Amino acid sequence: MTENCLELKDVSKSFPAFNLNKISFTLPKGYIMGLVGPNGAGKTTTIQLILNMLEKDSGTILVFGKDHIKEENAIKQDLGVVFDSIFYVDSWTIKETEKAISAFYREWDHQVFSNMIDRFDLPREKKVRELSRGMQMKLMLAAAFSHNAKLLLLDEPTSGLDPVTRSEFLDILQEYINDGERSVLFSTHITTDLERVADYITLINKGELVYSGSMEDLLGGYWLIKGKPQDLTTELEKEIMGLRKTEMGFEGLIKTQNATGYKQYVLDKATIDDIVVGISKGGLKK
Amino acid sequence: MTGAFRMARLDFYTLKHHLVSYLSLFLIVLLFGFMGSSITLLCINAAWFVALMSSNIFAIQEKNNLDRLYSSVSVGLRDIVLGRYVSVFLNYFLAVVAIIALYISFSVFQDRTVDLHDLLMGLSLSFLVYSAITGVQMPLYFKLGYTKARIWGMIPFMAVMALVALPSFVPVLAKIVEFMAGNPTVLILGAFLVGVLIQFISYQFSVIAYRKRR
Repeated sequence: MTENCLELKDVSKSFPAFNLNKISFTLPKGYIMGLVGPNGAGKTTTIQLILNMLEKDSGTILVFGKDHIKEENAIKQDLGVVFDSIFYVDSWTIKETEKAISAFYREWDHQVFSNMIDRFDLPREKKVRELSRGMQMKLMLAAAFSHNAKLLLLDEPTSGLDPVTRSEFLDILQEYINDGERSVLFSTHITTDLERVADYITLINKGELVYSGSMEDLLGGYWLIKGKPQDLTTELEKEIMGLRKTEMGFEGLIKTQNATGYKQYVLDKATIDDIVVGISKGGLKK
Repeated sequence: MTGAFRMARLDFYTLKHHLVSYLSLFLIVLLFGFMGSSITLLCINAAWFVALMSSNIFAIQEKNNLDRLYSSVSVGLRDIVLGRYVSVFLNYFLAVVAIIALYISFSVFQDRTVDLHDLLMGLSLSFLVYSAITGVQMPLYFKLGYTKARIWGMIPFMAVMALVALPSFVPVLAKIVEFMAGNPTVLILGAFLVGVLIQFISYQFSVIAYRKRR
């Protein structure tokens, strides 16, 4: 039995105006992986390829160690999906939603669904269109939990949610992976969410894989360097990624091993946001 | 196959709040039935009506991002398409059964006899009309989605109307119609078989269209 929940190897997909090029990453069982990158980087395309919503041009995708096309139906029994907007019929009530989708899952548990609805304080009599965005997200999560999904694919689930709901959402995810058997792939551009819950990060930019590995390695690998305009030497400029210059000074990312020679500058710990900005402005330097 | 029935069931839930529009069909039947229209004409009207309504499910699918739902549940692409054919056919079948039941009730009420031959003719011709229209429409909706395909979806209606009028202008077709009228059993069986064939070919095209859309 594989210990990896999800494996992508050299997955490519071409569109007229965009190419996803040889994306590879591995999500071990029992962890949360953040899929980050600027808008249009290829995050949603990657999730759609995993779900076989789009046909890949090349590469392999294994979910629970099984081919995602050959064993699509078996895999989807254990897959929960939450998109940035709800995909249930807007005139359904919560009760009707359960009736409509429960038939597709062998392990659907009405009691679990009912408990989740109570826990999330969702009004059963309301129609999907009458629910707030946060409530709609919770409804999709309740559905995913009710068929005992082993892998959650989340595509920008927290965008547009208020901070309280977002925090609650992240608590639920952490609780979800507690047993060590379940995993989450979490695509978002709100990277502060990931700093709180993610164990692994996969960074995509313009359809290219930039980084895939542990959160600690990513955050520990870079510093945010700041200084006055006159302090920016040609040598330093070559080391900096995503350099921003103003009349007051400069700011950019520098690799940890390169930062040792610049102790006299202001060095702050880089956040995922800093790194995403850095790569979108020119890529991570090897 | 189980997946297709699950999809058909999902379509039923999707359309649940729109099924009330079918009441207008029954009002039309009540009116025509009261006026003494033939069962053949009523069944063909039902086929026409159901074909017209069949685009509703695609409209709801597009409006509510249901492609995402379909791709998240445990059902393959062929079953998604087959399920749609099953659900639209069930709409047609139930509408025709309800209309026949209404017609028979009217006939009993008005002390008229129900001709079994007319009934079979109504069933087969309406199935042919239903198959011809939805058989062209469905691959278009699967390929283009509701918004882009709705204008093209009107073409089969116009084509069927043109085909009905054509024998008046084309002598060969007029002779075929004459032959059919003289051999109703051939017409009944032929209409059923052609209808089934159209639906089968249409389904294959829809699978290809939906796969390409992905």
